[in-house]
Amino acid sequence: MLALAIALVIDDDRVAVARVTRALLLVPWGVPPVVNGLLWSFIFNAQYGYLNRTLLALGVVTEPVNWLGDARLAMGAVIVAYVWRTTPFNILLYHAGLRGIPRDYYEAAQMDGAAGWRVFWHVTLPLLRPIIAVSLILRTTFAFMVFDEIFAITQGGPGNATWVAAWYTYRTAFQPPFNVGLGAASAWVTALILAVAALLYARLAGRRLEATA
Amino acid sequence: MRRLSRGRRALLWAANLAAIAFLVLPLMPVVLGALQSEKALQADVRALLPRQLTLANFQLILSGGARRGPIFEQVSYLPKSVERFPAAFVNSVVVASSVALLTLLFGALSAYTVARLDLRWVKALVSLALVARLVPLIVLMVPLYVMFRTYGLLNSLTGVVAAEVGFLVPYAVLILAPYFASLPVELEDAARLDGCTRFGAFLRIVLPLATPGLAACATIMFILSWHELLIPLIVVSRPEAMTVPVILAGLVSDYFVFFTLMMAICLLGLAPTLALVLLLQKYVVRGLVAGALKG
Repeated sequence: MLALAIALVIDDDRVAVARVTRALLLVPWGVPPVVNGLLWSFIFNAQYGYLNRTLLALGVVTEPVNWLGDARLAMGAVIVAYVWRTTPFNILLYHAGLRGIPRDYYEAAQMDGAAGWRVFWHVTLPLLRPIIAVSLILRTTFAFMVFDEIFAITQGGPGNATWVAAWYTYRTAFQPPFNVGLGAASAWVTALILAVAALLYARLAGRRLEATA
Repeated sequence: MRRLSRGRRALLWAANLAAIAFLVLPLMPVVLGALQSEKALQADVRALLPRQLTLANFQLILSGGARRGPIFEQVSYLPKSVERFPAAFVNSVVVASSVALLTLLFGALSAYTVARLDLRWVKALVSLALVARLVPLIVLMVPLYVMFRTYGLLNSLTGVVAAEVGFLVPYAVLILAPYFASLPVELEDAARLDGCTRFGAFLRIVLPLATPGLAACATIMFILSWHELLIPLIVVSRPEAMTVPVILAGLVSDYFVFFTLMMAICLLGLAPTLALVLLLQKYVVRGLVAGALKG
């Protein structure tokens, strides 16, 4: 949803700054996932991190917050880091989708007296539906595989608050006690869950391929 | 197009600036951290901007830990990642370039098949490529490790390249197929009439026409390969064959590492792909969108 909002913001060519935003759009995508993890672990660091520095400077908090030490906050931190890195890709999809909507539709809607939100709700959103579906599915499956950020920020901790499926597989199979069988089994379970999503995606995107071929 | 009212223009400006802040602001700590000494960072835990800047972190890393300078003179412990960084950087360049080249080679050939030849199994195989793109890498790691151990590919850059190419080719096909399909068939037909073989037409007509698409694909593949942590992490345990992400991952469980040093390494690790993304943004955007929607 954040991605859709930004896509809408940058779509209007009449504002010069939109071009700058578009040029910078892929910056987070260009950051290697491990670096992204380390970067956010620095930002969230309780003693020296820049998040606490900023919040203290703004007077939002009076004491440094231990972001990664708290089980609930830690998961939030990982999510923020992951979302930041992966949002640009979705913005791109929505942007392409918005560009694909013919101008005539908007003009017709304006003729009929629709304005602002109503145009968005009744014209833009329905036409974007296939792209929203694709982006949701891709996003869900990729998020299932998030590994690098977990690895770099929390290592599954504190306690086991941020053990996700990929991390579980890695830890059981490739770190002591090297239980490869259990790791492989958990990998299979993950794969089966994702297979459902994958089939759905293949059907959606496959239909488009047939249309273009 | 109608002109915007002043209020809407201001609103859009504000929204765009917010978007830019969202995109770029999280990178600031890396820069600020990399440019100061750990002492300066710890001295004032509330300061946003460092009082004095230094390039000592970069000197240390780029010299592989040899040139310590005044800041690191007293430091008895340096993480191994610092020593290994220059070699790892070279490894990463080798791996990412080979991966980009090979995926382009295989990807272009199969994408052409998908776009032009009406073979019986093509459609099913494309769907398979779509599914393959969604298989989480971690699922493949156990069999990959066992297989590579049998073939003696562990601990070698060849192994890393082979695994990454295998994983990325389906994606390359998805990016290139729609691009090939959009090229005019007539040119190819004309070449065939003039006596070109199908492969000759592919080499002399299709590939030159598809240069922008190929560039997009190669860039994306290079970036994805540069970013890849899991494959080299599992395949390689010998220091000489490690890539940049693996080196960086080595810093994670190191509780004694300086944040400033860590951020400097991070900056060096992210610089190549960030530069690629900014320079070739137009191509990358086109490739990414094609690979996700039309493919």
